[in-house]
Amino acid sequence: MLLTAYIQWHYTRALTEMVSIGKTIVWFLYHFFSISILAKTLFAPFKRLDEKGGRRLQPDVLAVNIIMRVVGFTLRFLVLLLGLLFILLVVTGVVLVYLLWIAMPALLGALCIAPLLLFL
Amino acid sequence: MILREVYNTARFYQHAITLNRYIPRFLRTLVFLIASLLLTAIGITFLIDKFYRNILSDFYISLILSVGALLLVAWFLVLMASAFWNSFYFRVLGLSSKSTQARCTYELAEIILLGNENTYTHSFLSSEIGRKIFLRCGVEKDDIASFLAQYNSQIPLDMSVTVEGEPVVGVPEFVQALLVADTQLIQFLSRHEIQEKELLSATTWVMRGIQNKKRKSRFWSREQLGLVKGLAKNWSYGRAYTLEKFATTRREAPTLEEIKNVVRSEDVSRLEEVLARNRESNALLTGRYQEGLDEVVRKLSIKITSGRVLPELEHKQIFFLDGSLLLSSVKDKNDFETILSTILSETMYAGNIILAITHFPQFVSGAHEISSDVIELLDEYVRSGVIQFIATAETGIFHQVLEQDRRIRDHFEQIQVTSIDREGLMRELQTEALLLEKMYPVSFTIQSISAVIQSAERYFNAKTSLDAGLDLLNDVVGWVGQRGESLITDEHIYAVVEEKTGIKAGKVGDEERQQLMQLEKILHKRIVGQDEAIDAIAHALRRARSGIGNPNRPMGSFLFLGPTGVGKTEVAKTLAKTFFKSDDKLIRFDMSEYANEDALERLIGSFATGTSGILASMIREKPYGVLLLDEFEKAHSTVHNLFLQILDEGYFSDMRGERVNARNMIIVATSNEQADVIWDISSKNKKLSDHYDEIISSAIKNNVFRPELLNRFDGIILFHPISNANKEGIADKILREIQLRMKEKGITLVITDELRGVVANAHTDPKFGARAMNRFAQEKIEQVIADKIIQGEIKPGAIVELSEKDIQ
Repeated sequence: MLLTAYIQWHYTRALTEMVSIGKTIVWFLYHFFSISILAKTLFAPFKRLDEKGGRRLQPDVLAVNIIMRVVGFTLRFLVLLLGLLFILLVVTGVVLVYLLWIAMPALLGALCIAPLLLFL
Repeated sequence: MILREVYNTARFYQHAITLNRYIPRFLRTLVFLIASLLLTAIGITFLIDKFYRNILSDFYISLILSVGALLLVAWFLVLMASAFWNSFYFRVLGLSSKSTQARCTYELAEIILLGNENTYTHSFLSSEIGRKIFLRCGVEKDDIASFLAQYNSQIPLDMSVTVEGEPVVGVPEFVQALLVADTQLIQFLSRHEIQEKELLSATTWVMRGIQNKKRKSRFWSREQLGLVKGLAKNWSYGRAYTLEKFATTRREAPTLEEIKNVVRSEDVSRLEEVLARNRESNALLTGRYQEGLDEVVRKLSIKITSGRVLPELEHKQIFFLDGSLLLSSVKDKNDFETILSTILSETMYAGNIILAITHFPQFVSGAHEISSDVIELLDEYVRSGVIQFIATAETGIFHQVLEQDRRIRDHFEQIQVTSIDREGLMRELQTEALLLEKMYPVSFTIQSISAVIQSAERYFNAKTSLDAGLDLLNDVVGWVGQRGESLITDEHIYAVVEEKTGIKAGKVGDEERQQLMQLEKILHKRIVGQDEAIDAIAHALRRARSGIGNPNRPMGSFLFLGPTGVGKTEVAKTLAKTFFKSDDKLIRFDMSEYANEDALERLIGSFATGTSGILASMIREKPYGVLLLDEFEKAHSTVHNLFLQILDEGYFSDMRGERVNARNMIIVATSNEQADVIWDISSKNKKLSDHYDEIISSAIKNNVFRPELLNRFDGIILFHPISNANKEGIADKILREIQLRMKEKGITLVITDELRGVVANAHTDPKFGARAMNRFAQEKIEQVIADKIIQGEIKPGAIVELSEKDIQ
């Protein structure tokens, strides 16, 4: 009775819950690495640190502002890259676990038979 | 759903519950850990042998791999069993019941499946959760066992168990249905003095604790993962360095409890909506700081930090500007305006700051004193919407300073902050109690939490009920700790309240019962005669102590009418001594000093001059005691109006618009008005009570008191002139006081009938009452003794007996 209920759950609810957990982890990584805000402000000066210039072009002010934007871009880009990498890893992991889960009863059977085969 | 269907509903969880019964959670965890360790060890051994040293024979390798395979099977099985159980266990968390077929909670199913549908109460009381709930009500395991031993009820199963709007039945709804269906259970409750609502409240409390634990243990949920603070959140915003010198902000991540409280708060949601608007997105919060006005802003700050906020407010930060700090650190108007402009431009440039200014009217007035117009300075930023503002103001002072200003009216949305309701208060205090239970070896009963709420609302109005409640909870932990106890009941709370306020609360003990029943006798020890007055006061005190009096009015209020020197003031003093156990608990005002137009300002303070009022300060200093208003009829009519409100509501507002609470006071006003009428009636040997209406109508006709003022007193008590029968008694009392004072000097005064007669006969002019006797005792008896002490005739240890001749 319990076994039938389990098998039914294993191939229905368990699979949808797994997808939902996978989605939650991707959501978490997306927010943890601030992906949306970093992408929107990718080229903005780091922490809005910039110099205000006058009407005429001032090379030193321009240089500072360019540097702050470059610093901002580099740091943001690195974090973005790291975040996307993690998301990719998680998505791959979820797919693998999903497949493993489907094959689990067969895998368990194989693992139980394997010792016998080793000694035969 | 009806009670009968609950059993079928619970069967949804049957497999998970069965699994958990045979392989409980701790066993699964244990097997998982052991299998993990062994698998790691096998893996390492295999790898070392394979790639480093080939010392193991093929047989051993096969053996190790076989054991490894079987361990892996065990590992997977435990993992799968746990996943299966988790899937049911976390199914209904009170959050997402839509997506599930479950119609009751896991915990309820666990209780129900302990027995069958005829033994619901039995199953409930035998379950772990049932025991926990009853322990919260102060009922021990043994009492439950003896109740169950004789339990034989058959409960009607067609009772409805679903509460409106809740598609899923939980333990609280089930208990509610049991309370309707099971009379034997109700008898059990009443035997243990537990009210039904207390059992329900204890149930929700226990269940909330369990739900919280469940939520926390589900670390993979969005709720838990959302608590982790992310990376690089502030890289895209600037900093406001000058603002940081004058403002504070919340930097640490909030806890789950904080977030849950915030999510439910209505005021916070309204503030959030206003701030998230496209235009005019500034808020002005009015209310009382004592009722958590600032708390709303703080809660929004928590909500933003937790990330559960409208998208427009994501990544925003609320800074609390300290206006008084800013004003006190500037030299002059120019300095102030320069710093404020810097703050505003930095705030604008930072891009994610919401500026909260608390005590906004005071900030505006303070700046006004150095001729600066704060509202004008802010106006440009407010109108253009480049900075968002939250201003907070006490309602009273808001009306005085800001309400008329168009610039505020047009650009700030006013939000009236409401105080926390009882249910919210109960929830917060229960959460705090759970935290305290984790930190100290104590446990609170539900009755103790109810007592905390009652006491906080009744006796500690200077703070918010929540603050007072939290303080009380913390105090009681220390109090029981010192006494080596651990279960905190309502009696412990009342004991702490009595220690803090001097007011007896809680159940009336035997000794106190005796005292209360003999109050008249006790009062008569200090007052001679005046039986009607004493009766009325004793009744009022018993009413106050029994707790049936209106908690939203003063504990008692009396107007004493009668000639001078008949004991009106003495009764008030005796009241302080008897009820509050101290003469110090008497605040006395001679109201003839408050007869002019400035009287009200002197009593409640003046906003224009910034002076605080003497009545407001005195009551804040001594909120528990007797307020004696001598010669009340002479007070200015505005003062009478003030007391109209105090007598009716039990509070008034001072010049800053802050509430002063007089609900824990007994107010006694005395007046000589109508003394002539009273004298006339008494001299004809008529009973004063028969002429009560006549005396009161005469006072109204003479325009001394308005009828609405007289109506607001709990009692108007008429004092008789001193009768000849009472003269000797009063003389005796005066002499005993002298005797007591002399005893301290080591001299014994013998009170003879002769001496008593001499003092009593000094009462020659009845219109001066006992004052004549008092004066006589002072001028004659004390004087004679003083002379004799100085002449060396009386020395310490002497026994003095005075005759009429000595005194003459």
